[in-house]
Amino acid sequence: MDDRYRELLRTTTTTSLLEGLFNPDDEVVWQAFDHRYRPIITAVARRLGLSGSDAEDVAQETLIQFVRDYRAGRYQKERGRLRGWIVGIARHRVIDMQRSRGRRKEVPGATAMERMPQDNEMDKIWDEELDRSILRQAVEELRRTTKTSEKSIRAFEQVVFDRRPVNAVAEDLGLTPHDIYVSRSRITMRLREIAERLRNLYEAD
Amino acid sequence: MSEEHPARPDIEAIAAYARGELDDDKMRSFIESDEDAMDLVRQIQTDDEFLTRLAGAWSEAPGGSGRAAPPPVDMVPGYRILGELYSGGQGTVYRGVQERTKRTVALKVMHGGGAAPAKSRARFSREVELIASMRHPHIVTVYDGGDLPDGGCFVAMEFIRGVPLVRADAIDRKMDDHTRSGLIRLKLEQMAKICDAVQYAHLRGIIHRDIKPGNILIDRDGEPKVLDFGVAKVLGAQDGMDMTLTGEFVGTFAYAAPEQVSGSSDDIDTRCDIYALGVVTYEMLTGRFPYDIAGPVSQTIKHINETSPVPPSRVASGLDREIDAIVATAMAKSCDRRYQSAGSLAADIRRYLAGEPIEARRDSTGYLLAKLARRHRGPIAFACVLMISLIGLAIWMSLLYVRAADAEKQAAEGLNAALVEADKRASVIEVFTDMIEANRPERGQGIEGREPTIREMLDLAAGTVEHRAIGRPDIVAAIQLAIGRSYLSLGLPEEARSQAEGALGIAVEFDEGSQQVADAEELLGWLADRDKNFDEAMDRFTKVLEIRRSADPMDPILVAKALMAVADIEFALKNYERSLELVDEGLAVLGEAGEQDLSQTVRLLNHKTRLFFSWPRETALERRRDLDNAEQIALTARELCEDQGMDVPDLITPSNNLAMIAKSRGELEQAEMQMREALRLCQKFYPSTHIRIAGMHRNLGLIRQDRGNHVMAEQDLAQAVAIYRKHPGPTPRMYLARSLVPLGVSLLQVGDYPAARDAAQEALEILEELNPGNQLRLGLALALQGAALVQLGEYQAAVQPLLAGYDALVTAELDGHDQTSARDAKFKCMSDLIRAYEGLSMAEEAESWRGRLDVARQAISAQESVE
Repeated sequence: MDDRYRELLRTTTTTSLLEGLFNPDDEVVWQAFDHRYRPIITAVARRLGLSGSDAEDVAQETLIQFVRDYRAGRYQKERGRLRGWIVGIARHRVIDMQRSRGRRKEVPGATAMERMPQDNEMDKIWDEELDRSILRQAVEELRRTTKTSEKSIRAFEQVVFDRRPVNAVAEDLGLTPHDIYVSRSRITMRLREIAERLRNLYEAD
Repeated sequence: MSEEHPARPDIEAIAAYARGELDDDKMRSFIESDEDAMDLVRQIQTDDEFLTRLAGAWSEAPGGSGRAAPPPVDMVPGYRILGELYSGGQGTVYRGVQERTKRTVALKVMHGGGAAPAKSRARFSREVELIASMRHPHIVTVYDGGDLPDGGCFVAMEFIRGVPLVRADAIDRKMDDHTRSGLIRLKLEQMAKICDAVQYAHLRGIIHRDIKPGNILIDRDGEPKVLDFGVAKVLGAQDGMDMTLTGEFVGTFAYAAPEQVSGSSDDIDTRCDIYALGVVTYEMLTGRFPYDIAGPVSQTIKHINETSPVPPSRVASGLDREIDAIVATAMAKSCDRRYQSAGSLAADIRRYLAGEPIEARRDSTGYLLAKLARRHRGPIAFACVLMISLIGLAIWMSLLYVRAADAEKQAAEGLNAALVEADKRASVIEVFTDMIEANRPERGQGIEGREPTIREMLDLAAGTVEHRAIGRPDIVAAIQLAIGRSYLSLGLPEEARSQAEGALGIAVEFDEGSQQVADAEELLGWLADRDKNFDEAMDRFTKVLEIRRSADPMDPILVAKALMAVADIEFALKNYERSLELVDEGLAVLGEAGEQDLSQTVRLLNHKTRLFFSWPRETALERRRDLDNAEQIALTARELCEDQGMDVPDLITPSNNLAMIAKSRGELEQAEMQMREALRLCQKFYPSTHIRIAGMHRNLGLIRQDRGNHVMAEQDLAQAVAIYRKHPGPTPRMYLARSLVPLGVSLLQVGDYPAARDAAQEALEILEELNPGNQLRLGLALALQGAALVQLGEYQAAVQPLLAGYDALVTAELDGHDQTSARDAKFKCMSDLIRAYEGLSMAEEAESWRGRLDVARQAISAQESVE
């Protein structure tokens, strides 16, 4: 089952996942779908001003409602993009959440009426979060599947994520700066490929 | 790999070079001379671009780790934090002390690490400087702003001990009249002061975008202080709407103007603040919001866009119709109907407090025309709509109150100029609406017994402009120009000329090199061009170009437009080389300015296409090359347009041009497809009787005629004719004639001879009136008339036009550049003559013409075989 899950994540398009989602017993498909969209919804909810745990709640509720609506046949591909549908649900959840939190003191009537971004802004937020999610998934996949030496990966992570100077990293790991640049380049190329493939999987979005 | 070749640049140096961080000049040229090193540089650069994104995704993911811990006291450099005042949508506000001055301040902090887009340091400090330059008794002063080590930023401002303006103490029904009216006065006085503050900021090009009671403090003396002016923008991104992208909410729905909730951020100008001031006033006076905002968001947006608020006087006691009018004007759905400045809102509130008549009389000002149009059907509605669209281009749209964005641009160098301009624009609208209003038929000053035509409204406007704007010659000139352009659009050149000359006289006296002089010269240039006085047009457009070029700052779009006007005249004078140079110069001017105005670029490209398309050449080779050039340019134009979206009006001309290029290459199927696309676009963007649609129908008809599809061609051409007939003026009339002749040809083919004869007759009348000299057109029309008469058996009547047609066509063939058309028509004409003589049993004449026809044909085939 673990393998199938991985495989779904790696190679199955959202469209195919959606087909599989009709089967309520196929937990794996659901997990893959969840894995693909939960981080984006959470991030979008945070960008709409919710705190971390509230955003996670919103993502949870949104996904549950989505799959319920979906299985009830309420989502039709022809009627719009998947993201629009998900964003529509999330938007309502965010408003409910804000309403229940009553964040603003001075104008009670207006509390729940925080301005929501327009559709095109939502699209932009979504795109940015999608991009991030893809990049993060790409790194995860790289770590899981790479044949590159452990040392190279560590050097890469320290230089790119921890922003350590190349010299220092080279010295620590017993490599030359040149090695680091070469492996950096190779890993970057690999990551691009993975990201490109992952992005294609979101085509229905 | 550590045993590096000594002649190889060091990888660290290469990396530094790739990132633009290498200072060593020698090393730089060393790297540049090494191909392998440069490959590495490019590799590192592409990697860096991707890795920056990657690192960002990794560290900034909002779904990931939680927010930062409470800030240390020295979080903001140069300040000591004393405690948190408020944490909300726009970041956190702390009370702090500026170390240097020991001054107590409020520190508003936007933390980094969020998704706030990094903005350039220069821009940030320029904006802070701008808002910090504001000193107004009713604005909370901003002292300072800067970056935070975590990538965030902060603004330090005056610390006010006060309470937000709240409506808790709003007017209560239970109050006695005296208390109530005292409170109303107090609220209105506060509102007027708040408006003053807003006006002060607007004049500096700063829009608040988030006016609401929470952003207005009442200090211990009871004076209002507006908070956070321009802060949304400084701390956020481009403007208030973009703040939402950083995960923050600006403002609440209740105070958002219709253009804010539904429009693009481009539409937002100072007038969204006026709207918010209206809502705040409403709320302060009535204790409630103008609309129900408790429902779903979509419902609230609908209210904001569509629902008229219940008049305050019906919600709370002690208020009257004048207050209703003030609030309604401030909160008008359309920003053009609102008070055009916070200053005029303040003035009206003060007028009301002083018991003077207010300006916000309902049923007045700018929306009058639209309202008139709604109230009346028929001619006046049409007149009004046209009026708005004609004059609209000239005044209505362009003379809106100065947008804050524009003012901001000029804030540093020429604030005064912007204010003068704003003032002028506002006044032009006022004077103009006054004028129209005074001429309303209901007021008895209009036309007795019926509704006025546009022409009459323009005449009235023209007649009264001078005494309605006494003392403001610049405004008179601006209005005269607008009226002049409208006259021209109505095909009344003489009236247009008189307005343009009037405007020019005034403008020259004012300042010989002013843009208004150029505007007037330009209009006179169009008029001269229209009358084919090319020398005069050339002089005028050259002058326009000169003025546009010397403007400071130079407007590249206006310069390009002027260049194009001169290029057009050069083209008309057949100076093709010169015309081409001018167009290229125009493109260069626009190119240097960055793609500021795509439409103008496309227009220049279109002109260039037309230039190559019409360039008369000696050899077929040159002609082919021209067509290739024309096609390339038209394709470029089309590409530029398509970048803006699939269906844009700018696409019409490139599509039309591509069709005509394909037609002249004989690629008729392609041509028809392109032309149909052009027609479809045209129909999408223009009303069905627009002259451009006629042109498209005509071209499509000509293409279909070439394809031998006379049934369809007849329909296309008939539509073109029907539209051209509706338009007066020499150019449409000329095109009418030029559509009637091919229409007649197709009618002949489908067997409707009487209609063909009538079409020829009408075309001949027009040609005689407008362009008796053009032998080709005359010959084609005469030959058509003769052919139709032959078909109808009226041989006697046919002979005369056929003979005249033959003569004209022979002349055309000798000197015209469309020799093929002339020759083909000539042969057809000769055959018809033979038939006519035969019909008249004049065998001798028939025989003689048959001989001439044979000789002519042989001459041609001989010539062709030589070629």
